[in-house]
Amino acid sequence: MLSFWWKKVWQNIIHTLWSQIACFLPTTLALSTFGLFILIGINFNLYLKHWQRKIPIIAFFQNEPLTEKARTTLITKSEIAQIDYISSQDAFQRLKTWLKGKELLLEGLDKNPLLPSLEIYLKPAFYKLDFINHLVQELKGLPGVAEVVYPSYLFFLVTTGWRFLKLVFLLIGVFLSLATVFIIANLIRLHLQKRREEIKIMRLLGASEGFIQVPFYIEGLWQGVICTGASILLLKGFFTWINEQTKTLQIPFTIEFFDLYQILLFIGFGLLLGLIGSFLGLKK
Amino acid sequence: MIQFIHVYKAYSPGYYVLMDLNLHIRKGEFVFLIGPSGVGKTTFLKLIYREELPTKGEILVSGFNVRVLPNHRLPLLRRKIGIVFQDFKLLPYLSVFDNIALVLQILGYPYTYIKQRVCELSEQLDLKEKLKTKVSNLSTGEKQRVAIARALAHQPPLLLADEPTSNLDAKRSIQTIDLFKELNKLGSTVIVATHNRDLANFVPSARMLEIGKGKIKAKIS
Ligand SMILES: Nc1ncnc2c1ncn2[C@@H]1O[C@H](COP(=O)(O)OP(=O)(O)OP(=O)(O)O)[C@@H](O)[C@H]1O
Ligand SMILES: [Mg+2]
Repeated sequence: MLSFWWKKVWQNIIHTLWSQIACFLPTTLALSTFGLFILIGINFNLYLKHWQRKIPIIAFFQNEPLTEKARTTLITKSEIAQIDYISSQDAFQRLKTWLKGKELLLEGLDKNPLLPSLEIYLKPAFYKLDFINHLVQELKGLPGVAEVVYPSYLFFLVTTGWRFLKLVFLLIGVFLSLATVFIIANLIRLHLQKRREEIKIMRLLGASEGFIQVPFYIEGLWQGVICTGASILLLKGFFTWINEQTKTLQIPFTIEFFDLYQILLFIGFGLLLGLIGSFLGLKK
Repeated sequence: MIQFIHVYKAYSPGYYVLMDLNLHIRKGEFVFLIGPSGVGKTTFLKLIYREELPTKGEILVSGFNVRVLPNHRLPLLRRKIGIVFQDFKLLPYLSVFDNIALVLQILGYPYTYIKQRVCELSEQLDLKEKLKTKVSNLSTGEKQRVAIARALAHQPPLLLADEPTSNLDAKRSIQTIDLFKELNKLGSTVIVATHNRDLANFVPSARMLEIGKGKIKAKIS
């Protein structure tokens, strides 16, 4: 039974080689672009996560006992991942290391002019603009706070910017998926048209609609898998090339490719698109 | 098995191919439908397996009311019927084997049985050497024999054969009629449409239905 269907699919492919290729190219292009956007998203996300861990909100205090006191209140907050206590001594030490070789600049200072501070790192889930603003207001209200600094534009990028970008990517993804489904549906419809006589004969012999449609479903799934497979290879090649380029140009930057799980997910998604395409193509 | 009740068929309004047709074919009958070209033999058969719907009247086939049979149940009717089409209706890209096997695959038979049955038929119809040949490369007579083999493959309770010997020589025509007789002996109903009156001579027990000018005259021979 299965061999019969495989034979039919094989015949479908051989007899319609040109339309197969005509379908393969745009579908692969659409899926590659889709994959590219997902990969850009994944890498951007990794990059942001990486930076998130390095951007603190810094609160300067007038003296060290007050800093210590503020720390004990803040540490109970579940939204905060980590609080680093930087005494004025530590801060001075840091300044010295930054100015290594130019210690002369510090010579005019008779006492340490730097204020103690708390460097507050948030848990990733709380990188939301309103929460950050709220926290900053709260910090400003603590006794002994001299100043609260945070790179607001970076937080904006991490929060609202990323959310907006995700939306744009989602829209592009939906559009490309629709395009893929549309192309596959048209291929199936074209082949249905070509095999109209044959289908009529099968009906006269008592074949059910399911029996007639199975080869077309297999064909749609097949197109889905082949095209996602080709897209993955294409993207893999492209990414490897980019990573080699950055290495030779000595840019300290590598981009991540899909892991195995994501590859399987992508192929599964291609299968789904093929199935939907066949379904729409077979609908009268 | 088959009942026509006041059946009318017109392809274009007012021009009736069949008019007020009443007839009853019983299970196990061997029937010859005889009439000149263009008189409506093929149309009559098409009404039975519902490729065409009657303009008026009721048709009952093997317990199905053909006119009101919903599309999704149509395969159930057609699986009970083996048809030798006048124009064969083979799949030209497929081999002889695959063409004959198709009807058995539709019915869901296991592959080992299909192989055995197709071999058996190919022997009976002299197609053994041609099993792997693509149908488009066969002679017309060979194509007709493939069509006959396919119609007989699942030993249908009802066999409809439309000019089944039109491209066969005398010897093979007789062989074909013999195969039909064999099926008939197993209890199947057989209807052969032909303009060749002589064919009926090989089946003495057959019922003759003469078709002419939109009417069928039954004649017991
Ligand atoms: N699909 C159709 N549309 C219009 N007219 C048709 C159609 N099919 C058949 N006819 C007409 O109906 C009449 C009967 O046709 P039919 O094919 O039933 O004849 P037949 O007895 O089988 O002839 P033959 O012996 O040549 O096969 C013919 O005049 C034919 O032209
Ligand atoms: Mg005819």
